[in-house]
Amino acid sequence: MKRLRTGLFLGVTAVAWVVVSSSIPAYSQEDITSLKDEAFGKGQRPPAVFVHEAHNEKAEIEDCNVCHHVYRNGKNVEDESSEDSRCSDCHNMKKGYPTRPLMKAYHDLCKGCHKAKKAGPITCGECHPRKGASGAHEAEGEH
Amino acid sequence: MAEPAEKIQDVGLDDGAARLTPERIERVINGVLAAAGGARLRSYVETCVHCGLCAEACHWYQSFDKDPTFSPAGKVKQTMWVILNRKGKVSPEFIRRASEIASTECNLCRRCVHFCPMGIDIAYMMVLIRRICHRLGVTFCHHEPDVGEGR
Amino acid sequence: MHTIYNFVRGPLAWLAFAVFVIGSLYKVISTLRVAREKDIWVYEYTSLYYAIRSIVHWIVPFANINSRQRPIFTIVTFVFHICLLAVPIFLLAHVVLWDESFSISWWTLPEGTADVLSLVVVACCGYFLWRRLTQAEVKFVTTASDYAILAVVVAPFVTGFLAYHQWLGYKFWLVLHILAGELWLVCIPFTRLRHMLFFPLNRAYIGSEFGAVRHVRDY
Repeated sequence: MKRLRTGLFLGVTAVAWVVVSSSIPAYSQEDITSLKDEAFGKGQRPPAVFVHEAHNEKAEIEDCNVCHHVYRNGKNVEDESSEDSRCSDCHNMKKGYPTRPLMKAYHDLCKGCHKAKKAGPITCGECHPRKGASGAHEAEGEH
Repeated sequence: MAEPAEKIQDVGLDDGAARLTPERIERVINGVLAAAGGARLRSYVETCVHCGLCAEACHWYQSFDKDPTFSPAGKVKQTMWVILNRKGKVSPEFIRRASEIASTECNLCRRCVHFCPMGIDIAYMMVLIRRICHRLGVTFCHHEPDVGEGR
Repeated sequence: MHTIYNFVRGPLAWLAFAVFVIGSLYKVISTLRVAREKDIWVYEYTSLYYAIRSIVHWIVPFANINSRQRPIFTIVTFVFHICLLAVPIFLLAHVVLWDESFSISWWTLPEGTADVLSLVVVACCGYFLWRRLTQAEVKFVTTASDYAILAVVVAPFVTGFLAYHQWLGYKFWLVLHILAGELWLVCIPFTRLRHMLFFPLNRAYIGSEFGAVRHVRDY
């Protein structure tokens, strides 16, 4: 009985936490744990796991514009960055010239860097783990 | 499954097979296949997915109580598959049996072609087997004891 | 992980597709050339009308006597072949890879649907296996290679299903899935899986022989 009550308590706490935390917009970079972009709508797969702080610490990324880049006339402008706007502001869902469609932009940026550095996840399930799958742990453990 | 068909006693088959040597068999088979075994033979043998759908079509199969050795693909299995696999290195007894199958267990009616999804002409392969056996002088001949080697 | 994945996804995939395409072309062209030399009447007989008539009657379910006599087999084989092609071509994860490599993409199946259809493929393979093991007329013409071919065909779907669900050993199943898919491609021109290529050729000829020469139907 006691175990059941403890379980119930934990369950309610977890649900409350999820409800509360998801209702507050996660604008702070510490809070980012996945690449959830509303432009995707209800995606076929869960948003990619991405713990912003841990990732950049592990990847030793100091400059924002490594990811939050600004392209002008087809060139990456070196000393400008775009962390104040959403990826989907430039990368729309459809095939939009001159930018890449949103999903391809994410895939190319993340996987491109991971492949170049030979580190980090490069397969589907490592970034998009199904609920309760072992892949989630593998992905986090391998950054 | 029915009792196996009684072994046919036939002077054409028996005497013909008795005269055969392995070298001659190989030479004749490969000669016939080189001359007549072209794209269709290759395509028919290599495309057959062994699905067994031709069986129902064959009146021999039906008459022998659905004995699979009388199914069209079953007859190809006992003749052409072996010949191609062994590149013509088969025994006189094999040729005797092949002749029996191609000449006395298939009428070349081609009903199986109507049943084959892959459009395989099994009768065509039976004709090739008949031709090989005829060249080898192992031909079913009812009661004519004097029929010799063929040509 | 990076090394293995990049190898099976990169050079090995190129090799598999190259073997599949070049091998298939070689097989078809060499057969047509042999026909030109040795089976000259193949070209004499073949008529476009009867070729199409024959092919249509065999790629439409229940359009020929055989398929009407075996409704269950007909349904299973059509469902099997449609899923067998539709799942790998329209799978989201596969299209993402095409998009990544060549910036081409097309309509995709909903993931849940693709998941079910993969299981349908596996179930159909189970039915084919059951036929081979139990039906006398199929068993008699079954060789060891038939089981091997069935295994090659079902392997990408089983491993793909396991990888998709990420239950245990996700990366292991994923790599195995890619290898199985590549084996499948390589096997098409060199095993009886080539009925995929030769079905239309055989039908075109036999349909013409039956229609234009014998004046009968072949369905």
